[in-house]
Amino acid sequence: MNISKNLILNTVKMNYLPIIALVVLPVAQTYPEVATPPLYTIVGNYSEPATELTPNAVASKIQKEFNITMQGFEYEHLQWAYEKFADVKKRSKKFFTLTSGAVIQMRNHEQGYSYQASCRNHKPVSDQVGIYLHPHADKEKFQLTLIHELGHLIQICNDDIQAQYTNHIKALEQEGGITAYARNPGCASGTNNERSLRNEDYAEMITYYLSPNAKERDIVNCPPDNTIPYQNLASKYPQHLEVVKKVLDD
Amino acid sequence: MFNLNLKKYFFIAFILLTLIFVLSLIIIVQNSRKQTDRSKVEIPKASKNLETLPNFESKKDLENGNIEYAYASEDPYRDDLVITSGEKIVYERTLTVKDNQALPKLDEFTEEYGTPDQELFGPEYYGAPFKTYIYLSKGVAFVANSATLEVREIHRFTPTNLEDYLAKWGQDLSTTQQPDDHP
Repeated sequence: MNISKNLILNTVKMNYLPIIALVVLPVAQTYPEVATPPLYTIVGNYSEPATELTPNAVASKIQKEFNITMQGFEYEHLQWAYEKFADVKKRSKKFFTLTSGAVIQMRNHEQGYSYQASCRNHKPVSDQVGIYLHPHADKEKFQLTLIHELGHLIQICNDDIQAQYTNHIKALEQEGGITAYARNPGCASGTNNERSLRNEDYAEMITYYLSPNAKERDIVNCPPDNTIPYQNLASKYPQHLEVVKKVLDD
Repeated sequence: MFNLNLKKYFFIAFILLTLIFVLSLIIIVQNSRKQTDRSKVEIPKASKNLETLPNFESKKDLENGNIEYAYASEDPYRDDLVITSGEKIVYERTLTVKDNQALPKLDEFTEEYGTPDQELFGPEYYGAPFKTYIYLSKGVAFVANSATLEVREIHRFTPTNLEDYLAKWGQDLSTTQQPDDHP
């Protein structure tokens, strides 16, 4: 009886295992996204609640894992930054090669301005911080602005081939800016020129390629389009999409 | 039989040699084309030919009586320029940007020209952290990203002093870095 039972089980295993594998594996592959773990699990001490972490500890984790220095931020903004970086890393490890060494300093601005001021620690302006970032109260806006400013750093502080400088300006000439802000950056500063159109479009391209679900945010006095720029990249801006893939895809 | 095999080998050898010859020819032609492309960015010999040079786009009379000739470059927003005074070329701006080619590095030029007479921030078209490295007595300047030290433009001009250079060719250059005013 036992022999025949084993025989039947083995036959079932032999005959149906490939079929089971064919069914189970694709289903398993449809759930690759793993939610970003909360910080206290990342630190490795499961008994320690997240709120007990000091801002310095989070900043130090960001520095260690992403090679980006964040100075002067409260705990909450650092956690938001960590979450965004962890999400970006799933899409592009190259992003952190291109931004490696960046120094981001918190600076409150009455109009909520953030800006990229210099390149890492390069000699002529080594006393300057790379990026000044406004601590927006809205999480998504803070995260999008963070990536936008690092997008400037990718464009300006890396070799032209790495940043795809020439291909980007050709894409811009052919397709125009990818967001309302990219098409009219003067809404924030009062002036549109070739430099601002080129630079803002580049930073927006990086931002929304790495934020596929985000709607365009508002920037200072600039009303956004009520669209999801990532979707527009594929449908309306194929050259931009090709450029950003070359810049960021691993 | 032996003769037939020998003929066969000679035929194969002939085909192979022909292929090698054709490939060599293609490589030589391609290299000479590259050199032709590069030579087009050098200062033309005579101003009368300026409108017939490759990529010529437009000619403009300037207020001071000079004539500006514009040529399409790889950057659709910034032309190569040649400016003449009478029959003489007094200024030339050449972009180094080429499709998917690495830009020259500043030290390739400083090795040849030495320390520049002046380093000024700008031009405005590029903004920070770009600088123009000027050799006044040699009549040459390089526009480079001071972070990556890649050279985007080469300027040639009649050798002059700083005051004259700034008035003629460096009006948007600055001794201090102007931060980008866009968030």
